[in-house]
Amino acid sequence: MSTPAASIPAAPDSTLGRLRAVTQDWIVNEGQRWIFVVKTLVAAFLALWIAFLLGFDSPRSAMITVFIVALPSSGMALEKGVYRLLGTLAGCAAALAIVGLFPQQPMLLFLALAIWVALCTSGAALMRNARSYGFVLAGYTACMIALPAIDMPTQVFNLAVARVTEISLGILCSALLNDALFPKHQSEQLVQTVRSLYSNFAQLCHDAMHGRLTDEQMERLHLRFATEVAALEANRAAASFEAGDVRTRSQQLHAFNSAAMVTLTTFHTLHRLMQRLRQRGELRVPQAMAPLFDAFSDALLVTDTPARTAAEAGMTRERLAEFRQRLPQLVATARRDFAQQANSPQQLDLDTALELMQRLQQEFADLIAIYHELPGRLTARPERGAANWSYSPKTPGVIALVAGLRAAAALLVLALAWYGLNWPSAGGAVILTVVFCALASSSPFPEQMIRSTTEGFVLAIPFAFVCAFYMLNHVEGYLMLVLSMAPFLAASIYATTWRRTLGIGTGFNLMFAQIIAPENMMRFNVANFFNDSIAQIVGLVLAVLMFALILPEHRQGSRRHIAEALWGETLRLCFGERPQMRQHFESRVRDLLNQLSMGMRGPASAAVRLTLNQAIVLLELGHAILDLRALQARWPAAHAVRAAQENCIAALAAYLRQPLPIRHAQALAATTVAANTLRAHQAHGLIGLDEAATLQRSLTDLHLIGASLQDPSLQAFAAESRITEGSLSHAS
Amino acid sequence: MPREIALFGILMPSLLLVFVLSVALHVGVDWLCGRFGVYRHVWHPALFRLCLLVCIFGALALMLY
Repeated sequence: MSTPAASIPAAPDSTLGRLRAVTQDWIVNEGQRWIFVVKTLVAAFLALWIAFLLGFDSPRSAMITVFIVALPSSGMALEKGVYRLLGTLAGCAAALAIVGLFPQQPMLLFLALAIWVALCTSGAALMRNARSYGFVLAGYTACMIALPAIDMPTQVFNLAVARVTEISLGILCSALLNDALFPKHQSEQLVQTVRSLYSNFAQLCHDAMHGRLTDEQMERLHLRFATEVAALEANRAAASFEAGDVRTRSQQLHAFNSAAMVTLTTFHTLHRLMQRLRQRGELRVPQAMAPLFDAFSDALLVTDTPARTAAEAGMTRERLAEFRQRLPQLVATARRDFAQQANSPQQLDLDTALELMQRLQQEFADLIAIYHELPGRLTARPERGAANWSYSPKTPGVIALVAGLRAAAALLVLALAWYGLNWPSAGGAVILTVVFCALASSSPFPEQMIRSTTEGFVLAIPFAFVCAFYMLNHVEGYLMLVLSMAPFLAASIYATTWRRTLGIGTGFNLMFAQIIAPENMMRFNVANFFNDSIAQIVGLVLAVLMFALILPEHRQGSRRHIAEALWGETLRLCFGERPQMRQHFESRVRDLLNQLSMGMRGPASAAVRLTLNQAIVLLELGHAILDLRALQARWPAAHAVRAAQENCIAALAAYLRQPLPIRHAQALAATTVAANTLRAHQAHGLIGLDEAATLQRSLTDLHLIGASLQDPSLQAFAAESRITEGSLSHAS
Repeated sequence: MPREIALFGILMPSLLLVFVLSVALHVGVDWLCGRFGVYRHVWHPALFRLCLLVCIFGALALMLY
């Protein structure tokens, strides 16, 4: 990307120069927006024109599809288009099956539809990426086809074919225009994301090692990191639909993402260890570690900032290699200085810190190697193959399930009401409610999302009225139709390019195309116009009602569910057996943190900060548990050391399953017992060099587990869950 | 080549089948192009990819008709 500042001529005070600067600024900012407007308009009217030419039943569907798929970058537009097409196909198949099974029984048909919608909406709420859009589509397309077919089951096949044809026409037009005409590449965005992820991360390490970050800043940076990790994955998924080599680099990008997550956790564990010691006023270990920190954080810098590009990362890589060679010497110096004034309890802290430092150095070197090799030739790519876990968002199951139930309940209640009411336009209301119950289920603020769309819908009605009954009735020919509709649409598409008016603009577009309903033989019927527009608004209002009435607490970003999921994930580490547990755990926790930050408005409340702290402590705890389990497998089956470690893990699992104070005390006691057993074994002295190293590392892990268990935020969760249980028992 | 093919009793335009087939082919060719860095030597990768699709579809359709 070219920076506008660089191309401003040297004499900015001359009128011509200023004019040029202003023009360039306009091209960079406003020009992009207007290109988008023109692209979307051309695609929409192209789709409409082809639909007219081929005599489709409802040409507006093609046009509406173009508006829905219109996204700023071509990768995102292609991705959404592909999933929309797949979802439509699945939905049509489901509708055909359901109508085929229950052609004469509306009640059974509604039930079957509700189950299908519940399944699809749950899937959509579970995923929260572009795929979830496909699920939403599969759900409501089935409704769109099956509901009108109740009175005429024999027509269902034609309805399905018409729907698929219109949608695919819209998608083809939109893909053609978006990808071929002034494309804005998602891959450029992806490069920016990778760069900012790395440089923010390195800056964080550097600042924290120099003690420049407060705890509060650190928490905020953690949340931001989780958001960046999620953004990287979303960008990668969208960019892989573009022409280019992002697809073949997926493995590398996944590796980069998970390496960054693992490294941050190690770094944070080290940082917390130092902070805890400082808070207790024990400054000897931090002082002994200070030269290592200085050397490491200096190695991270290129001139005075961290590497901004993959090329600059090469320099960091060399400096880290240098640091690695100096590390044994630095460690020895630190140990010697410390030994002169030692007392034994702090010895363990120093050992732990040094062990973590070595791990951090190793992981950072891996990370920087991946980063440096990212833009390289693919042939030179080392085969990391299946060694990577890909980050994928996943909502806590309960929330997804509730989203499905909500959509199903909305469909059942409204469909029955419609069946009884006999209002011809109510079908539209039912479908729209289902659509928005499904669409908004992946948003943490569903009411807000639906409200802004409703505003767009309401705003569109008077304009559509003017356009339909004062302009379109004088129109002859397609060009005139374009001229009379385009000004309204151009304004609203322009509104969608601003984040604040995105929802309103989209709502306006959809409603405008929907109620004007351009067709070859235009029908001008004021009664229908108002019936339809009222039905659409009613549908949206009902969707908001559904969110407010049916389990309103179970939504995306709900703090309580996230906290529970965090404990569950950590519990799984105690007995799960699967490859790459570490990466999986990391990505799950980051995903949950991302959900937490999605559900936040403004600064974090005390409760959110508590959950965030728990997440961080659980990350540390989880890593220590995994490491301990890996080490424990090296001992023979009935060995005393192994038995002690197994007991410790079992006690931890019991605590994680049910965080009661008594379990907490038991887990802490088991940790101490295990540490004592290990130390006794160490004192025997009858062990080999390998075994001694394993013992030392296990002791480090046990020390970390003990330190994490004593963190106040974990006990706070226990208190909190006890209160909830207490209130439940009161209620029952 | 008949204009329409009966698939499970449904009449389908045979060009549609050809189109689906060429899209499938195109996905493979596109993957290969990405894998071997062809797109780095192309001025407008997206347009190039579109033209590839048109060529594949045209070639297949002409072969059949």
